[in-house]
Amino acid sequence: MKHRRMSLTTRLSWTGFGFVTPFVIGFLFFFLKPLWQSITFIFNKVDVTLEGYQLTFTGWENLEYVLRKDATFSTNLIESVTNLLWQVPVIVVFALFFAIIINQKFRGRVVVRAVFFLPVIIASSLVMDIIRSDAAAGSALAGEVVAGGTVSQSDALQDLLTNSGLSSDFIKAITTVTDSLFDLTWRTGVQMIIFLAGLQSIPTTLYEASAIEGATAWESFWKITLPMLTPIMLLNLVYTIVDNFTDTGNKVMVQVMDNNRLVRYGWTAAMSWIYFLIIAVVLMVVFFIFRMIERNNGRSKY
Amino acid sequence: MPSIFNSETKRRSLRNKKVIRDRAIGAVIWVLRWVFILALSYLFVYPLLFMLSTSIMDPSSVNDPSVILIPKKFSLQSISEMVELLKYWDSALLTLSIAVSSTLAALVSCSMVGYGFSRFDFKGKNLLFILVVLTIIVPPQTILPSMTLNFQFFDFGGILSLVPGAQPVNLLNTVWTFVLPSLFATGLRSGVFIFIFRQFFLGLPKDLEEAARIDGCGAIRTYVQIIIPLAVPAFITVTLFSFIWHWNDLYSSTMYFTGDVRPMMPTLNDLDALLQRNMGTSAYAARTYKAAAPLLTIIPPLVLYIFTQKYFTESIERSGIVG
Repeated sequence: MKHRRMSLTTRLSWTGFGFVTPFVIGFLFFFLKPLWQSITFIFNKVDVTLEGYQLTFTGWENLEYVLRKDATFSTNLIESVTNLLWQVPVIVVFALFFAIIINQKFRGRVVVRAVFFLPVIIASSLVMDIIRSDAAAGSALAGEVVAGGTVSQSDALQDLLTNSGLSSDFIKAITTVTDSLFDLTWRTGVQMIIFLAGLQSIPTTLYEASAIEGATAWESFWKITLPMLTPIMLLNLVYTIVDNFTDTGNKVMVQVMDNNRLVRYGWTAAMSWIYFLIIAVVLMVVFFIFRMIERNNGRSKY
Repeated sequence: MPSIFNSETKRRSLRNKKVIRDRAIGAVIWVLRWVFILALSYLFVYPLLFMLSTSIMDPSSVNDPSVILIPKKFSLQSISEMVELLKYWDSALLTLSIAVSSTLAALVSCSMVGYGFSRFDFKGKNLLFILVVLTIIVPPQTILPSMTLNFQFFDFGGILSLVPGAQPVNLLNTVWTFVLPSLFATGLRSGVFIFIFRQFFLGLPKDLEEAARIDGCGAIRTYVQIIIPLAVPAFITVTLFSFIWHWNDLYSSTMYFTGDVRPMMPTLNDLDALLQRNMGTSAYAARTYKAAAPLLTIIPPLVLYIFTQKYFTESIERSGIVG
């Protein structure tokens, strides 16, 4: 009897391992091996020949080139990380807001949802770049033509702010944000879906109970919706961070890809590892903050 | 008892006031909601309409300020020229074959792996799942150069070197560059798919499988005959995501495909250079071309979305992606 139960557990655990075997093989050959190779590329010069590729040991040369001699990498890196730090929270808040809107029950919801999911379908920033420059040119032609040139909305805003006597750094920050609002709205697609699924997993009984106790919608948002969404918020933050720093519009990534196409693998390995390590630190900080929040909430779902 | 009567009327009038206030708040919320919805819909739909209208415009009316969205003269010339320049049909066929085959591969492998993670206990499970998360977090660009080299001189993970005299195979410019990793649950964003499947299976009741096991149904048969039919929403979600992400992939496609016909996004990425080389500098600035080219590239996923849209929105509600 005992023997049979043991064998069932063992058999089940082997079955489970069997199911995940594809990932184990894939991880070894299509992740760990190339990952290790890319680390070795940092310290070597990679020459691709017809028969294969050769590594010549160069020590710290690649890293030194990327950090000291390359004129654009450091500035690109700083710009990308700063963008990441303010864009990620904005995208996540937008996504939450949109998800709450389309989660409500109202007439025409089906159509509105179909429209709001469009960014998921056109999730390519390459297409977005072209659309954006196109739409800007179009709206300028569509009636905002001012004598001698066109005025964008942020130009007008900039004038307004300058006249009201604010410091120029502050104005620059504001106009950067307003300029990229369009872009950021378009990058909320997947996060919105994740939030929507999360919102629907919150049991309605919680809202009913709090409504009976006299809580307003505002209160139940802060006391029920947000705490219940904490794990999903973490998921979304991680997704947005990863998505943001692998985005095709990201300057560091553009530089990495340009050098990849020229087969300068030593440099690109150095660049992408430096970038990745910085992002890893950001991710760890996010995880740490969420661990603290979870502890305060007294729950340990994740 | 006048005082009680008095308080009764007072209460009633208070209640009436509360009803009126609630209705007012409701109306304000209704208006605000629709203002937001319309503004955002405009933001999402306008660029598409604009792109569509510009690409079917006669070049003469592009710079006419009196033309707003509806062209005075229609012309399909830009679109047909872009079809030729981008080698659209070949490129679309190639991208389609990449997207369909790797999506199928990812559906098989990621659903199995997700099932394994959600239903069984085995040693090292948590560590393995951390590794799944790691594949999500590490950017594809980091491993892309070495992946490209491994595919260029593909030796089946070292097995080929055991065979004397065998030459490594060049897999670049074939769909295998995408299908092989997907088949082993480490393809484009496979980690995300494993996650989605795992979360979905965690939400399914275990009773059915236990009943099946007691009746002597094997694990694989249980999975195929009982679990997969229950998991249709998760499969639809993953199918749509996988298709779209493969279709929109730029990095891997750029590295893996260097031939004459390339997938959609690398081709579109070279649009400026293509225009300049083949049509001269005046065409380089032509807005009809720059609207027609991306329009052509988003039509297939858009069509897929229109057909699966209903199932997709439903499946998100029911799949409980996040548990």
